[in-house]
Amino acid sequence: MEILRCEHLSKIYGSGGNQVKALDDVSFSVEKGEFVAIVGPSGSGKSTLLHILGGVDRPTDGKVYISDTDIHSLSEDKLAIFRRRQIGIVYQFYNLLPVLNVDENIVLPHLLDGRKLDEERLDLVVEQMGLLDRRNNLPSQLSGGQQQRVSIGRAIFNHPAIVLADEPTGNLDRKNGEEIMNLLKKSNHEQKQTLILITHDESIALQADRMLYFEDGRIKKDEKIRVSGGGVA
Amino acid sequence: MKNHNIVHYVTRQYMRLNRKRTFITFFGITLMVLLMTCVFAGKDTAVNYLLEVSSLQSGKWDVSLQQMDTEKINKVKELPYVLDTTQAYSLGMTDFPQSGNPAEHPYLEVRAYSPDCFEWMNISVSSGRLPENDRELVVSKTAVEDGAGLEIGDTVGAEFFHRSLTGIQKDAESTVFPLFSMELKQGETLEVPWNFPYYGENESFRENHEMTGEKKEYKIVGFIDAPSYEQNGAAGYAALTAEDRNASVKRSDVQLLLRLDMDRLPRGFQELVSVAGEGNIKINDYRMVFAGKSSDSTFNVLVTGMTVFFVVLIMLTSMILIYNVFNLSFRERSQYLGMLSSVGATAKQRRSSIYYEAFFLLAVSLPVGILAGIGIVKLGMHLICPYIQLLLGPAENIPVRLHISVSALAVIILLSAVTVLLSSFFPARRIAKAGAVESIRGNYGKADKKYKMRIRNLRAGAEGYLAACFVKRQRKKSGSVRMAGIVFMVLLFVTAFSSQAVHTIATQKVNHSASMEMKLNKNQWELSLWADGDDSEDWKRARAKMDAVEEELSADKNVKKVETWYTGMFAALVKNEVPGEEYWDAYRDIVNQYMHRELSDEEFERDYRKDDDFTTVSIQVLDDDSLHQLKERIGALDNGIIFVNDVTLSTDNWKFGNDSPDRYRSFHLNKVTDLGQGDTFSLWSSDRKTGELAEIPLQVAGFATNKDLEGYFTVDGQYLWIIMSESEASELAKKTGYADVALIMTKDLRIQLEEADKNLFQQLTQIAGDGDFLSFRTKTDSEIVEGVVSAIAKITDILLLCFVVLTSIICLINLVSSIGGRVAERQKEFAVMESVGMTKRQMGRMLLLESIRILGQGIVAASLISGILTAVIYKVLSAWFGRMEFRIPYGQGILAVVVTGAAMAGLSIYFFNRESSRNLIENIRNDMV
Repeated sequence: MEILRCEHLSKIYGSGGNQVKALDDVSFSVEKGEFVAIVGPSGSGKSTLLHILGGVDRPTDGKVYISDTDIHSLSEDKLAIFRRRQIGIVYQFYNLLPVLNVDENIVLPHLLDGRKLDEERLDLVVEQMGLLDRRNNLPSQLSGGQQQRVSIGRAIFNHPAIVLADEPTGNLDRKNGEEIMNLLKKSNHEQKQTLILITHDESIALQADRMLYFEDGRIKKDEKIRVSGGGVA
Repeated sequence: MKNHNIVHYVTRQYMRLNRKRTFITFFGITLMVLLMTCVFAGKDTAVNYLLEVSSLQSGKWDVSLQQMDTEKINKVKELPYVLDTTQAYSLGMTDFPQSGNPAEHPYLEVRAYSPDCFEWMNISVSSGRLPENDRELVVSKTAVEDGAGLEIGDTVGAEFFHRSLTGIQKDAESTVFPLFSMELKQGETLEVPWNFPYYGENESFRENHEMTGEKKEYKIVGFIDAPSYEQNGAAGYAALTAEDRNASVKRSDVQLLLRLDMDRLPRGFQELVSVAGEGNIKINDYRMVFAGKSSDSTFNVLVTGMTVFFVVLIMLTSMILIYNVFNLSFRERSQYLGMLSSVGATAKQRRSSIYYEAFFLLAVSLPVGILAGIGIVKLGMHLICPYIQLLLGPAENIPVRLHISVSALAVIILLSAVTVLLSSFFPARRIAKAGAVESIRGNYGKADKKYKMRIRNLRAGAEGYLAACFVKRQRKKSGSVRMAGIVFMVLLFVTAFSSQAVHTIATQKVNHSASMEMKLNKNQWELSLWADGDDSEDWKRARAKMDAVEEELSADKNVKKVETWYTGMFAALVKNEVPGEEYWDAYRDIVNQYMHRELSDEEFERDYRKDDDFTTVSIQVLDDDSLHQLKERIGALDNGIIFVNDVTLSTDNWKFGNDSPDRYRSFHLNKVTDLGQGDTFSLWSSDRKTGELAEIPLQVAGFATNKDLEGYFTVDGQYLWIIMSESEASELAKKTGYADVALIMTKDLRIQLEEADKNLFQQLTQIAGDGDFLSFRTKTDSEIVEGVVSAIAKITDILLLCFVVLTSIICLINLVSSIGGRVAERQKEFAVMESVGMTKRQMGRMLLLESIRILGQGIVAASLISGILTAVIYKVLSAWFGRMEFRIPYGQGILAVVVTGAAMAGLSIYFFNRESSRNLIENIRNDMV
């Protein structure tokens, strides 16, 4: 089942002679439960694509459909509501709120939705992220790996349609990086969580079901590595 | 690269990079310098302007001595405190055949001035020049305007005389000139003053001229603007010549004008009085007050107090502004200074970075602020001048001259430097203490505190929960906003209180004298019959007239109501036990001021408060309806009298001996007696025949303040007032042998009209003008022309308002920079919240709730600080001026909270909207403060 589809996406920064084309007519779709890795050199448009898919940036042209909703046709407030319900984003530098503890950071999108707190779900996520003994800590009292686990917890708490991860291991050592990848893969395998991940690390990209290779704002290669949730393609 | 101090160089580079922050600091420091300049230059300029305006009224002299001869003049000149003198004398009147209005002004009144005297008396030439010798003359241009056939270069002859009148009317006993307090009997000859009008030939009196023997020919060398002493009604036009230095005549009528060194002047003017003689000394009160030479120090204390108050206020608000800006930029600054530290910059060098930035900006701000301040003072004076002219008289010819001394400039620079140094001291110390690594990482001062998620707090919604987290867990970061809010609230409240206090002091000075004024509105008139214990024939006639008027008025359809009241100033006595302790404490303090020492209990009891001695009381009698209404309003008993609980005792309205008090003191009493409702006491009054005191027992029905008496009358001053009914007043009259209350108290008819009646007005005016016992008053007449102290009160109000506005601007900038800085610092947080699904509306609500929380915390601190400051100001003012009724401005307090809250919430949302218009991604990536 198709969960994401983008059609003829383009993004141009600047104007006149200083125009930079970050994305150039990008079209692809992602199936539900698929794990897609986006790779490519710096400045190839990977992060721009991820931000447009996440609804935090708008394309110059083209459309993005998530669960059949054209997200960029939504008003700003409706898009924000869509983001907290359907999209989870994991950043390289965690981007946690410094005044909230682990629990509070994880449930933030849920609370913003005005829903009653699902304490069982919170306990489960905190346990899955291995943060049971750190629940009351502020981000500044956590290591980088722990902060990224909080960030993943926040991204998956609401069972979003897709999770977008922008180099989630880029700021971590190998061991922590592996742990983070295991968490993301576990969520992908066990809960059929659709995952789109940007990375420079080939070994991480090879763990995905599919790899999109970006260059100069275009998809140079769309390679199926293995069948979603299964063996090598 | 030149040989730079690298720390300063890097600091300059960062100042360039952060133009907005640098500009806010620069603007704050400039505003501080500007306000300091306004305070000092404004004070000097305003006081000098007031001095010049007040000098217009009578001249630039402190004391004028009349009837002086050479011996007396020499004696005065030798006195150590006499700085300078000049003199004038009158040559008398001379015929002025060229007059254009001989029916009213047939003479010239010629005075001779010594050279300085022209300037001292503000004589200004409208054409030609001033006389240089005793053969030259200038004449008031009023004469020319009236059509005098006179030109510059003409010669006029003068033969001087003094005027007198002789009564010649055969069928009348005397002719009265009320304005001159003169009564001319038939056959009697009286000298008339220089300003006496010319009546021409008439049947009542004859004018005589007694020649002085002085004759002269004068050349007209110019015309002068009408001198301040010239009077329209006087018979002669003003004319001036120079004094004759070689005069053989020894004069004994010289007017000697003095400028005095008040610091060296002994208490009072006794020495000058003893030389010039009683009644021959005139003090230029206005000038002395404004020059700070008056024995009444109220004006000086107010000006000095206000200067200190505003300087402290400006320094405090500026310090907080500069401190906040440095504090907000701490993280960024600690990062680049941490980098410098890692390559060897010492703590001293890091500290110097802050001082360098602060003093660099001060150096630029000083000239800008001083020039802008001077401009604002000039502009402000131009705006205030019309009010001063309105209050002090015509002063349109006096230009506003800027006064700012070198010492004032030095003080401004010094105080600005001290403020900048103090405000940058703590940020500099903090930055010097931070280690290199923690500075670079930006985790300086991170707390180890852990916080549990409080699920029940989620009831306030995600926005409320987040607002609470941001405020509680980032106390330091929200501290600058809280501090700015507190300062704003404290400033608004304290200045509101201080303004009211200063206004109270000034108005108390205006209303110090004992008075009772019936309140009249547009259609209310007052016809009064003065009391006359002698029951004279004239009084009886007046009384009969008033009765006739009263009867006529009751039949007049246009007259709605006529109320009969009586007013008896000092009409009776009460034993010294009736005034309460509060009264005697205030009384004693005032006596102490005049005695220049603390009287012992025994001395005071013996000399001023003997138990069997009496205190005078004044009585107001109301008609039964009005009294009943008043008693109902204040909850008084049906029977008995009402005490007015509004008495002000001050060193202005009590005098003891000929000495001046140590300083001005004023006590407003809210409780004049310790008697309670229902208690009895006795009123005492002299028997008409025997002179013995008769006792009238009375009951206290209740107490009223001036506020309760609104619509009836107001009392001011130091005396006890009681309000009673006509029957009680009749009892008092009867017991003391008078058949009519009107014999011991003024009878007042308060006439209420349906609409104004011109004929009745003329009729009543005529009746009142015919005889000594009747007077007629309308609202217009009762509008008191307020004096100089009232002008001070009004000018003070205007100045206070100006300074409140200007200091509020500093506080507002402080708030703007704190909130702007805080929002800028939080851009990444906002962007993260948006990226995880927070809507703009939720963000706005969260910021609003944050503002309410910060405001709530601020209110507690602001109330505490305002309370302490208000109490201190109250204590200081009470210690200096006495116990006055300083009201706590609760309304302004609430307004301060509302204004601050609205500013905080409005600014937070405004800055958020402005900053969030930037790209979300840009904000997420933004790691700079």
